[in-house]
Amino acid sequence: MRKFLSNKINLAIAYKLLNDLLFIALIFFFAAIIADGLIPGIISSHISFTRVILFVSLDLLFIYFLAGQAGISLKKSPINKKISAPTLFLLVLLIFNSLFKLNNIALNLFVTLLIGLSGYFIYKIILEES
Amino acid sequence: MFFDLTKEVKLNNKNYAAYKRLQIALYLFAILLGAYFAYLILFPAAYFTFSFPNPNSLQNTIIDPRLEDGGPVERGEISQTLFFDTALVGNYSKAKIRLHLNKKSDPLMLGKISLKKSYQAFFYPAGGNLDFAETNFQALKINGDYYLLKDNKLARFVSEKAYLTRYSADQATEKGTEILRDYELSDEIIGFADGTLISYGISVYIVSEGKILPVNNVVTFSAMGYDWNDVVPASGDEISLYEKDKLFTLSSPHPAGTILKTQREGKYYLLKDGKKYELSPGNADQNLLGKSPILVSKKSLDLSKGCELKKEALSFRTYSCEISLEDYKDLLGKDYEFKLTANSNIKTDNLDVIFEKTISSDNLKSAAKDIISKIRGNYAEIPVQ
Repeated sequence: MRKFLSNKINLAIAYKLLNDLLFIALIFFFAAIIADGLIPGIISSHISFTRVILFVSLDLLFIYFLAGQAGISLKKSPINKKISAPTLFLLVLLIFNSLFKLNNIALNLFVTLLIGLSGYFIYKIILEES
Repeated sequence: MFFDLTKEVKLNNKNYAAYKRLQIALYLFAILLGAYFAYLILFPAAYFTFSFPNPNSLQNTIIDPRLEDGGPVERGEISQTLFFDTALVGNYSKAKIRLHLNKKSDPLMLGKISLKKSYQAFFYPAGGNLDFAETNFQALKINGDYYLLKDNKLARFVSEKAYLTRYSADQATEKGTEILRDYELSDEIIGFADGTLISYGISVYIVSEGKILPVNNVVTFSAMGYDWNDVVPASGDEISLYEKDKLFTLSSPHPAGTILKTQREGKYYLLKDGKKYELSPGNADQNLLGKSPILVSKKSLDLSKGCELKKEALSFRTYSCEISLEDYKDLLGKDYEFKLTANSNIKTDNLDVIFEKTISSDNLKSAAKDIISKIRGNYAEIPVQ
């Protein structure tokens, strides 16, 4: 293990692979959330979402750790508008879908809007503070 | 072939080639894992279990393990025969039965499992003759309300709807209100006939023996063979006549008052006191025969396939066997009744039944249908206000 950690090439390869793993896990996570939103229980009856979140968190932790060990600088990348727009749209759809059982489209849209606005302002506050 | 998510981390050609190989392996592994997950979703298995040391555990999903005389199994001790049921929706290809014996149990010399499929209630023992020839009553219609005149007392029906679940409209004799002075009014208010489906708000209930059983969900309702057209909307007054009984789930047997009808032969059975009474036009109240019955297959009583329990490899006390369910596919019902016959006294710890689907185009089609019906179930009523 020590030998592995002392070899920067190994660390760089592991770092790259963990990023790929994160990408796969996130794709699975989003696909699972959409599927479970459409048919509640279709995924969560087989695998708990907590486990997926824990797996993604662990992966992130390892990436952070390996980046430090391998001397890779993690630069803050600007927000990718090509990805963020569809992601936001998907989030709105998921919220709308989760409120579908309200049996009232107007109320559903209103609550979705409120959640969206609250999310936006919380995001702004966090950004301003950071 | 594959993209690089971390272009900022530079590697020399040799190491980059090694990374690419590992990356391909990782993505291939992810695809295989995804395919396995899809298999689990499209061809799901259904697990049922019963722990004999903990017979009251909520984890127990096998229904009512019982001895031949109907008595409970004490401490897992089985002498000769054990009956147990499972209830599930959907078509499965095979059932695997696993029996885990207690450390102190004698080994199982010869154990056989046989299987029948229908509704639990259809396997009830046959009752004798029911006397429907009750003639000492008269149905009356007084000022728009329905009454039953019996033993010189008048009992009022809670509503016309309730009356019509028991008698036909032409059975009631129209009388004037003066008859109310001639007879004593009974405290009893007559409700719906046993076995009637009533709805109140978004809930559906089954009337049985003066109580109502709330149906837990639409899957149970359909799987039990009920028809939405038979549901009678009830008013607050009508529903208040009844005490709510325990939830009617997929594992529940049909309640007393339910009429079963064999699909091909057209034989009717009435469920009462844990027995099924055969009804024929000669001995049955015609109103009972006019009810919407639960369809069953007569063949369910005769078709019984089995397997012999064998000790599992690498196990000291676990015995298992498999039964193909292909022959049961056309039989109506959602309950599988198992019969375990052992030629020695054994003591069991656990009993498991696993229903599996094999990979086939039929099962794939049925899985797709199931997914579509679940989506429809979620979004069928588009809420517009």
